[in-house]
Amino acid sequence: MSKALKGIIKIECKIRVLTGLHIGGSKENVEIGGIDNIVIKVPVLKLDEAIERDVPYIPGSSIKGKMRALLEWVEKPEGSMQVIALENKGEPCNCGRCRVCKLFGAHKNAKTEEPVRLRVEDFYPTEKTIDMWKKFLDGDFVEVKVENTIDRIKGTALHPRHQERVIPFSEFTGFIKIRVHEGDRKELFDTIIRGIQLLEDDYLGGSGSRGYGKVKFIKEKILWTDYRKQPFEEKTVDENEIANIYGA
Amino acid sequence: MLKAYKITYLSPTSPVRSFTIFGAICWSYKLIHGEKKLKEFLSEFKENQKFLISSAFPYVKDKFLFPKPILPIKGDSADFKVKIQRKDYKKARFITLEVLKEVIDGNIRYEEDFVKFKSSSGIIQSENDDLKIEQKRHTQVRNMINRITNASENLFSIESDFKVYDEYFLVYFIDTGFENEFQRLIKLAEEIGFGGKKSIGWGRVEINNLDPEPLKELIDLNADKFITLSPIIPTERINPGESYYDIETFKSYTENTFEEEKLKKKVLYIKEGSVLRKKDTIMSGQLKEVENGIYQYGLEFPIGVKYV
Repeated sequence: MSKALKGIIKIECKIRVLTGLHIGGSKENVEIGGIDNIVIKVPVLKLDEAIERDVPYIPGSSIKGKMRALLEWVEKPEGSMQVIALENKGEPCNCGRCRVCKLFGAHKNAKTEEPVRLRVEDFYPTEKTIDMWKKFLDGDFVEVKVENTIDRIKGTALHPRHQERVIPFSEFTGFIKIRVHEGDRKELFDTIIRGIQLLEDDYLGGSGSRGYGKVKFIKEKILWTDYRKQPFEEKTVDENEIANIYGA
Repeated sequence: MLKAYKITYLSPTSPVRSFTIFGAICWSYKLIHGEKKLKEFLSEFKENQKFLISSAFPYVKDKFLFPKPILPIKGDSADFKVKIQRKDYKKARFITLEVLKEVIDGNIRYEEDFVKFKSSSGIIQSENDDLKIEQKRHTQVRNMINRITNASENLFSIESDFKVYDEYFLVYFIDTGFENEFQRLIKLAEEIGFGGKKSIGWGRVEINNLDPEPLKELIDLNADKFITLSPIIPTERINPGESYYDIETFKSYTENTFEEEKLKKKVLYIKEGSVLRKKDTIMSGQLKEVENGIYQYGLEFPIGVKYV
């Protein structure tokens, strides 16, 4: 890896949940009559003045994984006419040279030729959202939705199951960070913006084909830290200045 | 000159020890200055250390905690009452500054002597203290989306530890001119994250300066009897017959965020909290080359004691 780091672009985002969001978690104990499908929760969330426990969050891996899967339907491996998803028969790209590999890393580290540029942090609920949950969900943080299958002959409900969901209008906050190395081009930043748009038009988490997981990314601000400077400086930039950062 | 840094954990993370911090600093250095400069930096550092780093330890209710010193046991010569109480103290992992000062002064010279303090939540502390350290195990389900069918594949779950408490680490600048550069390197390390799985949100930390005043008198680079706050890759300068220590072997991969990971050679460490006697006052730890051009940090971070 000979490409020196110029700095880091940080996109501070809010993710607004527009329809019930279910990102599956795991539970240690099976309870009779308990919830079948729980959402993932962080055991402890440190707020300014308090600590909340078992709070739903959006893992960075869920955002990053889904964004990559969607981008692989529009991005092509170097020298190929087909999009990555078809070229790789459903598997993630591992060429190590395309924009997806440069940003997200070559799958299974197979052909690492480039440093990974992207870091997606876990997104945690805002204090306002936690207050809203407490107010509208009787002190709980999630709603429970009951689902079933209809018996086609009798017209009765079969196989009832309980699904936890984060309710609409919940907001989560966090950072998407892109490292800028010497020789990088602005197309890498544009690819992430495209990934965000694709994610907004698709869904996050499970059961998206049934209306779950529609989200909106609200870009609060973009920060640029130039690590070549001593002392380093962090400043707010707008999208028009990104080209200057990449030196395009 | 001593500096203290507080780490606030905002996501699951792996343990942060002196070699983790040193590794993060080296990566920051390489990213900013390039590989050639890093090699020069390490080559110089091997002979003339610019700074020493401690491992990270809990910082609870504005109190610094330290690893419990490894002390000899009185064994059968201890009081029967003390023998009954001994288990709680044996299990404890940390002590407060107040207890540490008693060890430094030689008022506590055997493991059984800790019983004059309270042992609670794995911390040996005074009756007036109510310090607790809380850590939660977090399970995350992982999968891969099949791009064609949209189905989840390769489903598996991973466990991680989420520290509810903050931690601190210390840096002693031998070369005080390096402090500003260190500040820049640590800021970049904070942005990149600490430990494994950083690209998916793990290792998210906030690092802030702390007032090191209460600890300033403790660090003694010239002590021949000391408690180490960092794991040491030993040299023959340590006198094992007059020391009390735990050892571990450690084998790890290099950072894989920026290039293909490599498995480093196994090293032997003397653990934090070991109470050591040196043959002289020269550094008894080392920065060891474990692979061609790859170094493993193993220098001491000494707190001088009066007795061993």
